[in-house]
Amino acid sequence: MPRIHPGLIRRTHATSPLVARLLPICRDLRSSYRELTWLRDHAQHICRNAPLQNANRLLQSYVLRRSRGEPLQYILGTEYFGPLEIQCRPGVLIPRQETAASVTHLVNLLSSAGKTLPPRLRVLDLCTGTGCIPLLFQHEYYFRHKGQNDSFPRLDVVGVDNSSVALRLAEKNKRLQLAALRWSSSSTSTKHQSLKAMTFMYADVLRGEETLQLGTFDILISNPPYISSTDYWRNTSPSVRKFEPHEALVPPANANGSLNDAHDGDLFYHHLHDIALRVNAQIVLLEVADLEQAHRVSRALNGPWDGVEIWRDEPAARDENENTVCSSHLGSASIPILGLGNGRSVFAYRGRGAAWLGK
Amino acid sequence: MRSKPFSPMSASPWICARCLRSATRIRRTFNVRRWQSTTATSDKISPALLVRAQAIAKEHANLTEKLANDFDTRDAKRLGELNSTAAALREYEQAHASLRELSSLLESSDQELRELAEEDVEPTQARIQLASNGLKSSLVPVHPFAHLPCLLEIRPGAGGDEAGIFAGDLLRMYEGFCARNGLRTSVLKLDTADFTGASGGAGSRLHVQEAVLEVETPGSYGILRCEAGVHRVQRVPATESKGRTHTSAASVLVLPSLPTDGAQNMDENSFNDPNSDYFVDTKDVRTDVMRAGGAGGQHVNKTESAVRLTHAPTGIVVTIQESRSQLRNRETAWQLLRSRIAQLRREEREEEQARLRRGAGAGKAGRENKVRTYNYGQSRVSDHRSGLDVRNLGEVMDGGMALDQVMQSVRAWMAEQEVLDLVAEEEGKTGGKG
Repeated sequence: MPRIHPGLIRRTHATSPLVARLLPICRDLRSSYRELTWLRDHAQHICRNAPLQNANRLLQSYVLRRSRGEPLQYILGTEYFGPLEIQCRPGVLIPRQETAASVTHLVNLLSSAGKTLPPRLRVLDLCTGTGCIPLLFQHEYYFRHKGQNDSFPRLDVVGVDNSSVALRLAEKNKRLQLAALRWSSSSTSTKHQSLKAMTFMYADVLRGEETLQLGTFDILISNPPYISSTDYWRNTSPSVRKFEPHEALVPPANANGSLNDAHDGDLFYHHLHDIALRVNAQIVLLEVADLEQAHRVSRALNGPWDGVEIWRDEPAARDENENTVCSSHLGSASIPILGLGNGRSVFAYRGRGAAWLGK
Repeated sequence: MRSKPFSPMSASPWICARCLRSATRIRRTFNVRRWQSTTATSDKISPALLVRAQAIAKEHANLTEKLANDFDTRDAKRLGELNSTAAALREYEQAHASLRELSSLLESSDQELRELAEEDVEPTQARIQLASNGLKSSLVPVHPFAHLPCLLEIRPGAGGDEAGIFAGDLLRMYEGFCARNGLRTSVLKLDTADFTGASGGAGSRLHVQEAVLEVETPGSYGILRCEAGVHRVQRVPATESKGRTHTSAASVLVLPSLPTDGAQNMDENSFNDPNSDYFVDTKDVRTDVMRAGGAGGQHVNKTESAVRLTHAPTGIVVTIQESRSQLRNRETAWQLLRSRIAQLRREEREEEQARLRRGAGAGKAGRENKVRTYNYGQSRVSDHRSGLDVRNLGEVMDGGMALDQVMQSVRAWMAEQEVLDLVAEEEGKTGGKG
């Protein structure tokens, strides 16, 4: 991390002490300035509804919290996930932009396929957190099919988490999306009904018995805790370590058996794979930490999968300078790597899933 | 006993206080002087223009006949466009006919009749003058972007800090102007130097590096088009310690703001037609989002949402980071990029036409020309195109009525210039043929 010159902090402090406070966290002047603008807007918004508050004092407290490393999303209470504004709360992982890019790309792939989809498309999201993935999938799916009069299959999405705080927050996010929808479309629309039917339920992925009762699903998505315990201390930002829930980032320590220390971030994927087969999922999309983990996970998907791909941060992006599809040879099979950025997710399909994707 | 329910309908209609005030306001008039005479010179209409007007009138007649038989929206629209010219030509011809009648009367032997005719000659001349002016202005084509909303881009020019402060003053001036005229605005982009905008609060003066103001009301491009160019300020800056007067400048660009879906009202100019000004090939545009360095994903929670678009053929770069939502930034960036490209293409075409005309001579209100001076020492605003001087600088800077007046004069001047261009063009055409 490049050092911030003390002179810069001093000079900034002379014109604007608040920006100077944010500088060590934001690392550059421009983003400190942006964050201060957002914090000020939020403070003023709060004060408009609660006239007893003093906007300036509130702003001071926000800046103080932010300067101690608290994520901006927890202070402001929301984060944008694609086009959706998702509520955030301490104790639940903040949605990441990369996740949104993968989910949007998956929906785009499905929508271009068209008619071959089953009459009822069922999607399961494990480790749902704020409920951002089900909500975004649902939103994008109906956005893609806008204008077609109900000829496309209806969507059923189920989110699963083992944290009651997360489940409550997910329910709240769903309620807010429903409220937002009420203004824009009639309550009889399929999108409205599908959103209303969206459920969030308690289950622990590591103890598979509960998830058995979920029935069958077509698509399984998950953004599980995937950071290994060494990586956690080495590569996560201090703000993440100090303020975001450890259990949403790192799999539990007392892993049973074969995994060695360096790969203890992979714990969830074996269970996710088992569940995917048990619920008869035809497509899986699993977020991973980096390209190496992506390779390990795709090697582990040695079941009945017809195709496995690795997606980078922006799976839809194409760049002439970089090779968009480069294959990595692992053993006999070659795995295409799509997009730009870090290795972000592993995508696999089989049977009817291949037909839905038009593969 | 049942009380009588309150019925809002029975009361006299409710009028919003602002409407009431504006309806009863006494319009102030200002001490306005014209220093230069820039009225269109020839009162005789050129034969080339007349030929063109007659052609239009003929098309108008044909269309009217056609529409009487079967209705077609496209024809009806075209008819509406031609209406004003046809009417103006009719008026012009009638005026001429009455003049001819008068001149025949002038030669009559009856003394009394001759006197009566002589009395009528002057008003008829005036009527011809009026009619030919009307005919000329009706021939000037409506600017293709005039019906669109617009984006105002303000950037400081020469003059350092003072120019930045002046750019902020201009931004406030236009915001005031739009608010008073009922044009909806929103600030799309506001870059301030040393971040005075964030730290100083509402009262302090903005030190603008780049500002983009969107005026969302349709037709605002036509209204604000005359503001494009370099605005010069002469004053003692706030940053000056010795009390010297400085001259600095800020440039204003007026871009057409294009509707996000090309469907409405833009049949010939849709985004998908490669020949239109609005067409931007997505393959030419490179999108950069500021990706987190390092591991990304769950490892960091970045708040960076900036989006940068680069249009390869023109080299135009747009960076937007105002919103926390990357998607919204992307939309804003696309809007700005489209507008800039459309304006650029339009300007290129206009330059081409100007070169073809040669000698039409009028300085285009492009970005290189100084268009207006704000002199704080004399409390004076003078526009260099229309030659209008207004001694009401304070009100101009608040975007008040005085600014309306200045803009009105510029619009009139632009119309005159366009007529001159048109005459030159038509004469060039007929000259080339003959």
